[in-house]
Parts: sequence; C-alpha cells; structure tokens
Amino acid sequence: MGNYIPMIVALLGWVALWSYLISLDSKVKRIKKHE
Amino acid sequence: MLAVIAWVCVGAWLFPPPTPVMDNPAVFRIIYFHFPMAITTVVAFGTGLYFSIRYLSTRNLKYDTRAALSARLGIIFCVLATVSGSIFAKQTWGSYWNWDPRETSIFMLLLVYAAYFALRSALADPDQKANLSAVYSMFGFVATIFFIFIMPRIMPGLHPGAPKPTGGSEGSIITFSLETASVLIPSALAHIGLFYWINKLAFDIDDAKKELSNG
Repeated sequence: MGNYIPMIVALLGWVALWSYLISLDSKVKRIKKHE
Repeated sequence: MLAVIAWVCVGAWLFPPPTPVMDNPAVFRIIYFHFPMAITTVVAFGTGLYFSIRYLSTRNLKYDTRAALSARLGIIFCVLATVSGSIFAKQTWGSYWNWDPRETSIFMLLLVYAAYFALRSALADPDQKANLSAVYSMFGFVATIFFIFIMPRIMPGLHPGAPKPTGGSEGSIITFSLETASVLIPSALAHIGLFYWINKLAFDIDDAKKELSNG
C-alpha cells in the first residue's frame, strides 16, 4: 500500500473522463434520433 | 467499464508494485497504465489498417475518415505511452530518455504516423488522399509490428523482453504475479474498450457533421 493521493487523482480523473464521454454519447444519440 | 477502470485505479494502489526496487518503488505502479496504453496503440493502428482495407475494397470515403480517426487516437495513446514510459524510465534507469531500442522504436513509430498525417494534409483531392493514405497505412502497420514486436526483441536493451548484451536470455521472458496480472489484464482490456468507445463517438460525430453539411 502506498500514498492515497495518486489513487484518488486517478479515480477522479477517470470518473471525470467517463462522465464527459457519457454526456457526449447521449448527445450523439439524441442527434442520431433527430436524423 | 466504469467499474473495471475504477478497480484498476484501486488495485494499482492496493497491491505492492510489480518490481519493488530503486528509490521510489511506488512509481512502478505506472506499469498498470503504461503497458495497456502501448497495447492500445497497436490496436488503434490495427483498426486504422482495417478501415484502410475497407476503403480500398469499397472506395467509400467514410472508411478513409474512420482510418484517419483511428490513427489519430493511436497517436494520442502512443504519446501517452511514451510520456508515462519516460517518467518510468527516469525512476528506473535514471534518465527520461535512454535511446533504448523500445524507446527508439516508439519514437520511430510516432514519426511514421506523423508522416501519415503530413501526407493527408498535403493532398487536396479527397480520392487521391484516401487512396495514398490507405496504402501508406498498410506500410505503417507493418512498421508498427516491426517496431513494437520485433526490433526490441532482437536488439539488446533495458526493457524486459530484450536480449541481454552478454547474449544471455535472462530477463527476456516477462512474468507477472497473479496480483499484478489481476490489475494489468483488466487494465489492458479496459484501455482497448475505452479506445473503441472514444473512436465510435468520433465516428458518430463525424457522421453527424457530414449530415449537417449536406443539409
């Protein structure tokens, strides 16, 4: 076990990227639905 | 995928570093991200090759765009693998860059794919651009296989898997403990999954842009 900080930073970074991709995914799906 | 990458972040911290030597052993945890990024680079360039072949067999420009988008993501993963490897190298071998065969080969690979985009930007005619870049992509992937899997295994170097300068085979076989594998394998699969997800989004956005421009 080591320092908690890199793990927390990695987790937060991943959750931020995942949320961004999910929101982009839903936007793209909405655009496709309108077409 | 959220759960798998969350496990990778926690598992990388939870288990002891795979090779606990040097001043700062915790830095070895970067292997859980560095190795999967390098593998994803190969997958991305392979996907680029797949779409290039699809383009050459159908002459549909959609596949040319998809090949370029895949190669673009491949370059991003390649840069990330190089940067993470460089940080790793500083802690392991004392310098950010050592011109080890694998470091040299990833640098050459970046140049090969930078030339792919230089070629694309130099051609104005879409069909000529698509034809030439599809053929170049095939050579690019052959170079990827050579630079990633062959050259670092035949030239003596610092990375594991390279033959030793003495000619011995010590260290030429890479082995991991079960704990390390339980994080490293899901990490590699999750990085590849992440690549396909981002790539699919890029394809859909590109299709939507084309729809808009066509009215």
